[in-house]
Amino acid sequence: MTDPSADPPTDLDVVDDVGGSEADHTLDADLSRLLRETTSRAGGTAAPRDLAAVKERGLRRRRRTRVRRAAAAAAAAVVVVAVVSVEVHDGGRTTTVSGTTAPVPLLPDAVVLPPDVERQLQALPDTAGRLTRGANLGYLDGPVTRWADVVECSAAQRQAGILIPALRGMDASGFTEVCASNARAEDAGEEFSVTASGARPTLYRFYLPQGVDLGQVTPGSAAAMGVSWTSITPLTEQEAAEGHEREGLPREDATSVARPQGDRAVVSPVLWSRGTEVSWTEQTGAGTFAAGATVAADPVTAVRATFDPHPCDSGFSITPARASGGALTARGALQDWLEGDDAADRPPQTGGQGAPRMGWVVVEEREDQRTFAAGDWRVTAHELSWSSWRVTGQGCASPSDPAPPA
Amino acid sequence: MRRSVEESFDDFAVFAIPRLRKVAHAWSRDRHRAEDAVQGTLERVFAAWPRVRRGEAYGYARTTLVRLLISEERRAWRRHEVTSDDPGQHERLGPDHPTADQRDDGAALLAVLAELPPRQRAVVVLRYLEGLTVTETAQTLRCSEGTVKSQAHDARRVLRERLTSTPDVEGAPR
Repeated sequence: MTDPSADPPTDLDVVDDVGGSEADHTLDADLSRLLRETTSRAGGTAAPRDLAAVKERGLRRRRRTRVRRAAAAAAAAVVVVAVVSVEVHDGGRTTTVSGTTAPVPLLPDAVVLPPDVERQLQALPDTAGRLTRGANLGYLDGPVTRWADVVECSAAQRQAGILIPALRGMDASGFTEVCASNARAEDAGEEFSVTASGARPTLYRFYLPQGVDLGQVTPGSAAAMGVSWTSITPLTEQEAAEGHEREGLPREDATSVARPQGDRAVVSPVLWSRGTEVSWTEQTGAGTFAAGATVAADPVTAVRATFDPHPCDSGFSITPARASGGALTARGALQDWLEGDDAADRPPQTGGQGAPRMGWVVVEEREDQRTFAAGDWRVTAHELSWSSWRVTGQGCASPSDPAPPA
Repeated sequence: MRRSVEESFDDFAVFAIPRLRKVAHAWSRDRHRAEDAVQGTLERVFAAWPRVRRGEAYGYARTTLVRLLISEERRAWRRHEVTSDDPGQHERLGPDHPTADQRDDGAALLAVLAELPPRQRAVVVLRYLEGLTVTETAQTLRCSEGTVKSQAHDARRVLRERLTSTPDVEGAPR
């Protein structure tokens, strides 16, 4: 992080005013100094109470976002299916795709999928690479750099106002991360949205194994080369709405699994190569976006590489500000937290923040503190005053934590 | 218990809040509005915190803040509602202003700044206060560098005219 106040700007040719006089530049410098001095007293300090309130409201915002994401979850799948269909039907002659998928290395704390979800993914029909491609399939056979330009990841994200999805559970240490954009030069600087002419800007994040250059990578051969990537592209309001209406659209070679964020992702094999596609929807203040990952791995590994490793990691801790309104017992505080004010909007098997509703046991007990565990989840309640307990922290079990008692 | 996410946000907030407040104050001249905007920004940043890359957190927060301020500026009722516990900041400038002292110079600057269109004001704040380059400013505002330059040109012309011209009989900056 840079401290803007610690590095006063000397480059004040804010208008590239090469013809500007000495007086112009002096005025610029004076304005900059005056603005800094005028606002210097406005900084203040961050009071802990400020942060507690901010984080509580931030969590409510996060929950609302999850609900919206769930409502639009199928939109991404619809778009991805449409794109795949277009590309496939564009082709003429076909050739057989061959090649083996390089295994995607996972981080030690990559999310562990429930056994039933693993079975669901393993039951997907083995259609990876079923479709063949031909020399006329420009999209599949041409290098990525033919239709996308390499961009600096953070700058592209800042400009678009959206984060390019990352493979969070994947050990990317042996890979080179390269971002790319398909935006045309004449659209540079425009908002990251579907244009009036229907052009759809897309940002990509590629994970290139050592020795692989993006210029060598084609969509048709990427997975076989061990290349994985993610993408994000804006949806129109209509697309988002239509996706919602088609949420139950059946598709025999795809399945949908719950994401830790509460919405659902569609998982399907890559039809022209070995690999797995995972697609979902991102909802931000700027709009609705179709996000996806194409992972050079089987469906189980791909989902583990794509999903956030620890849903409980997006937890919170609050600074107790007052003792009123708590529960009489620590377990009562846990119950209050699990049931929360939005319990009616959540699936019955989940509680506060998406945590499991059942199976909580005490794993740590102090005079004024109880820590409960359920699976990977840890929740701590504090006694703020006599018989007034509140949940003040949530997190994940660390690898060094002992297993909860049965 | 894994609480690094919380702790990292707390550390970030301690770093960022004073700076964001300055940006918001320069924008609005109003401490309460500035505080509201910063709180709203941090809510959004915290909601997205698990996905925010640490080295880009301040830039992400600043972008969120500026877009929030621009968005709120479009609400007409906001334009006429200025509240502050520092009334002197909202007084129209008298004949002796803005050169009487540094405080009044600053008040005059903020007053003229407040009259700029939102995009021009954003360019001035980002360039003069935050020291961003034209490229960085364009990325923050999701516009082209040419747009930033033209907005900055127009803004500087207005600032120069109004802050260096002789006030009229009512003392309002021109």
